[in-house]
Amino acid sequence: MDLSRISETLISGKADELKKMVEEAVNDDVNPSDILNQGLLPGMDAVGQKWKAGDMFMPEVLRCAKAMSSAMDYLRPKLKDDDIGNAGTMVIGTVAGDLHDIGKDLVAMMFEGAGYKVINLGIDQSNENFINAVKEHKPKLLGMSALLTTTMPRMGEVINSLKEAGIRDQVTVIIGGAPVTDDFAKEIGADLYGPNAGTAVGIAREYFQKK
Amino acid sequence: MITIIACASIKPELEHIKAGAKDVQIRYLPQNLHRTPEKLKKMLQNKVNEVKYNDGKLVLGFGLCSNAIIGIKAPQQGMYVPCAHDCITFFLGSREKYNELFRKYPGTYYLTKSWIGDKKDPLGLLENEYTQRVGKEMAEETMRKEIINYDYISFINTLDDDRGKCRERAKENAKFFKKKFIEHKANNDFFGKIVFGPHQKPDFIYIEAYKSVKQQEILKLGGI
Repeated sequence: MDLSRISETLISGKADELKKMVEEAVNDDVNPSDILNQGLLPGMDAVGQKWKAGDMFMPEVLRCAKAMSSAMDYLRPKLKDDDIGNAGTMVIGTVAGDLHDIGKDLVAMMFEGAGYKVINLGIDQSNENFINAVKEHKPKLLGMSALLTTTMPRMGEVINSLKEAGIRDQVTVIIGGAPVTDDFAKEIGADLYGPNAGTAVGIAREYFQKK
Repeated sequence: MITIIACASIKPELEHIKAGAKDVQIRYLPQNLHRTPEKLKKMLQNKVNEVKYNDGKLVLGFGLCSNAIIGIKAPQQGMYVPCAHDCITFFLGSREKYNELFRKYPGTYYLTKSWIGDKKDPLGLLENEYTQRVGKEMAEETMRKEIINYDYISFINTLDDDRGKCRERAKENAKFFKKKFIEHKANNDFFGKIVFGPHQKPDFIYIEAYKSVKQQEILKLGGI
């Protein structure tokens, strides 16, 4: 099966059709990991890019996310043990003062789909909550999100708190959100910048492969 | 001569302040582009590039707006950029007021005359944009999700005309989405500064010819 068809169907947001296609691919003995990595994730990447370009509106993005979620519910049990949970743990949250969670939840879903055990802290999370979660769960990745220019500096403060707690080198930090840029990520000492939910997984994967 | 490039979200207020001033020309970009900052950045740069040297002093009527203004390159005469996160600072008159309300009412969705008039309020988006694209059910689900964590819908009343109508629409939004309604009185001070100046620190930063806007300079100078 041409897995780009799965990407295209995901972009169209047709949940039933997508699930049927994924089922067909599984029945045709296509590797579930390939369905995810070559079909679903590139589809969500395209959705993220269309959103950023203003070619797709929020309800369409959410419709795609629902289709992705439904397809993942079917695909997850088919993925090998190697693909589930073993990618590592990710702690993710929206920083203090920021109440936005749509993008952050999309990222969480993508990483969960890519085999991470995701601890989603929620919105408006204090520095202390991030630090405590890193100490408790010892994640491979810490994801932080901000939608406002007023709240994005909190990300740098969390990174400083990680340093002060002596645990900065124990976790890879990835950040994202509408006002966040690659330059800002570098400036505050984050390891990675995820421009959208679809590409964040690939960026993290590439980083860990090189590491 | 002053040329202002501004967001249409502040058009009613800027036009009111400008009144009959003949040496002020204002060019607008559509509102709501802060949601797609990369698109706004491209459109704004194109608009800046259209400004000629004899258009005089160039002033932007944008805040950081999801950082869309970061990297915008000034034309030959340089340009003045307000030190503000977004248009809410303009409507409220100062960064101090903005910061005060941000702390006091953190989960607030602000509405003004132009947001409501241009149907960019939550109900307007739901009825006029989302429903046409995905149907009523998904449209409503999306908008409820977008503002689920907000506690307040606030109406900032900036101008006398139409005020009653806009306030009622803001209240309608609050009722539909089950939010508390509050109203804030606007202050035109910042609009006055955009149109007539003084274009100086800490309210504005000057970007020299062919240099780009940097976020840190705005954050530091503006105390935001």
